[in-house]
Amino acid sequence: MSKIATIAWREFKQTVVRKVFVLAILGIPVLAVGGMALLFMVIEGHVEPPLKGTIAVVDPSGDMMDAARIEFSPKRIAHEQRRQAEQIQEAVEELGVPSPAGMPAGGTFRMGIGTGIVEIEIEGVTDTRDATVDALRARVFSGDLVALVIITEAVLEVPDPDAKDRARFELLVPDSIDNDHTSFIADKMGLAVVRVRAKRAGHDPDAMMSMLKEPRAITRTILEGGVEQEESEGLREIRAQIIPMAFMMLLWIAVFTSSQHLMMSTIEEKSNRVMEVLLSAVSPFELMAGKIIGHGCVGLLIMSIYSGLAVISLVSLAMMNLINLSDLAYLFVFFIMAYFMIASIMAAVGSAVTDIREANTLIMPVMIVVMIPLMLWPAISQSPNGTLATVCSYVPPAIPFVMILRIASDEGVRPLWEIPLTIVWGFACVLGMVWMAAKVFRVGVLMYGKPPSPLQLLKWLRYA
Amino acid sequence: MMDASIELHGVSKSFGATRAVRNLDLAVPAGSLCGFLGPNGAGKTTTIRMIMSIIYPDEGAIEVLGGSALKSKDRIGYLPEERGVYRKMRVGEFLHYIATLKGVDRRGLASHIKTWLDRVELPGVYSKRCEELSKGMQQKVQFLAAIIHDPDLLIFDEPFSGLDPVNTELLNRLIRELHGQGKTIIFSTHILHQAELLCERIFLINHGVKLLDATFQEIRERYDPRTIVAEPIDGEISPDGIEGLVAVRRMGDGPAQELELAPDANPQTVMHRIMERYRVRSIELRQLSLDEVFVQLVQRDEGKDAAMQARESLSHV
Repeated sequence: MSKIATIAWREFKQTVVRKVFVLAILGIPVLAVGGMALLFMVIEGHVEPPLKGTIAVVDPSGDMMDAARIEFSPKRIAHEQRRQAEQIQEAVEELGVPSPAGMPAGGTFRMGIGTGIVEIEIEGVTDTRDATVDALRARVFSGDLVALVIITEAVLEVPDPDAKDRARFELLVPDSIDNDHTSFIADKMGLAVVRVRAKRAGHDPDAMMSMLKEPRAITRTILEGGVEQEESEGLREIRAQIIPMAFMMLLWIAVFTSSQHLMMSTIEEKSNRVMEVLLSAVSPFELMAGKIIGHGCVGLLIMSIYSGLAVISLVSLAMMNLINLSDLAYLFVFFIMAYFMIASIMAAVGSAVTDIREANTLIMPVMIVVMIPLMLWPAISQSPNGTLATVCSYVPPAIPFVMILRIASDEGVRPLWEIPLTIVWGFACVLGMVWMAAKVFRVGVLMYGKPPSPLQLLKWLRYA
Repeated sequence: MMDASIELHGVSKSFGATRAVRNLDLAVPAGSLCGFLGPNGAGKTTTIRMIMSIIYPDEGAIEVLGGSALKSKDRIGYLPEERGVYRKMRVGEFLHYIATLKGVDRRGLASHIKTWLDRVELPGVYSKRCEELSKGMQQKVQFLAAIIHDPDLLIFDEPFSGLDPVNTELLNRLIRELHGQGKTIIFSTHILHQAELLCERIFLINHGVKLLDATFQEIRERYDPRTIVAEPIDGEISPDGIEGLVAVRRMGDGPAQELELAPDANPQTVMHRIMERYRVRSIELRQLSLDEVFVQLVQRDEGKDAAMQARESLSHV
């Protein structure tokens, strides 16, 4: 046992006490957080360019001029900007963050159009002759006009409710204009058209536009004992889709990083010809066990760091209600299962080949099976107790990945006894896989030359 | 017979269609220094791996230090043919790791390692990375990895391969010294001459079959030399008229000749007869080399063609 511990400790130390490892493991979250912080700083510092100048509106009826002036009036624009800020604030609060302190709400808001200075004059033109329009075009090109809008009478008519296509008007802008400004002008002119249509039909345009704002639903889930839990749409989405995926990705990253290290170190020992030196001191099984345990500790460390960071950030955002602590416990149980499954495959493959390229060919079929939960996560987390999810929960080595998706999903696993059942079945598979890996490892570590085919690997199970 | 450190009874091992070792019996006496000889591909490494319980025989039984090698790994020092070091590890750290795996107490280990590094003329490499050492230096580190835990039984697979003459001599000296301390040593080599210098007993195998298992004393007695080498001063020695000579061969371009004795001829009498008829610059009874013993044995068991092949395989090593 002490030999296994000695090997495990060396493997752990050689992997972890390395600049590359520290940089990769700690660097990724630091980079992610730092990158986001940098992005927000850029956004905070971003100042929308002012939109100033004259827009010419060609409209034979002359009705558009007033409507456009209302839409571009400084009062209306200021009101809209306030409204937009409030909406973003609401959205942030909906996510369960009581105080948006530290949240980049202001930054996001500032990205919205209309925040900058807007000073637009409307020049109404009723003359639709080509010469007039051409002169206006020339003024747009020269930069004298911010934009030229050409409205035909058909656009201002109340549209047929069965019409397939929407009415269209022409918007001509200079090449130098900001994209956001173009869409801002287009939106505003569209609203002005609606305003004209309403007025012509005898309605008060402002009242009608307010009427058209659909109310929002407050969703409450009725839980056991009649308790109602209020939840916004966004939160529901996060709970149903993002959290299960985050759990699975965490498991995936920890398992694959550590088992990849395991495979690489096995290949290194083989290609360095140090393998047989080790086998003079320990049995192949002790060697494999030591290596698997050592790199398993690496995986546990990675997962502890990442899940620790995740918990810290959730706590600091007061969003811990998004996850259950018991799910975290399951994460560790299924990590051990997943790791032993993948690690035994990686150890076996690593022992059978002499370089990484050969290893990749052998690992391909296994990767396809483990990719299943990655590809099916939307389906599984949306319907965690459906046939697909249930069937995949019993296919090694996908079991732990699928199960963590199901457990972390909003609905949870039903019936509950499936959790202990898959744990028992999963660990039975682990025993089988480790046993097979040990057989392949014993033969593989001393084999040099042509890499074996998957079929030959199975044959090795009968050797020795 | 003395107690045996290693005993093999009827051991066979095949890899697919290749029969690497066939029905092999061996007994390595405790405290002996034995050579395990044979050309490349004879089955030496397979046998040694079976002795080390790294692979298992298909048939037969193996006993090492009174049981399975798995139980007494800490008492065995093994230098495999496929040997290497962790390139990124420091020399001291590497030896420390191997010694710990072999159950050596960590206390005092560092100074023990340093003493041994000095003895193999590698002072000051303790903190160097293995990849910084030359190939020859790495080989000495590997040798230390095999003996650092002071084992009772030492098994070296091709210990001299790749070593320069100076380091070969150093290794020879260390092996003799370890033998002097009462350790049982068995080493394999395909360079038969190497074994003649060191061993008191040899096992010779070819195609997985044991051809010879004897002490050098026994070999000298059994394989009476049947060749006289003479250098006549004028003319050539002819077998005609000299009783007991059956054939004469020129050796190279010089005047030296190989004179083959008849099976029942007494070498002393024949040499006397030659000197009576010819003036010679030198005449001697040739010592039979292991190579020749090997070729003779192959010829006896497998015929002339196989013997030619065996001679060929030896001349290429």
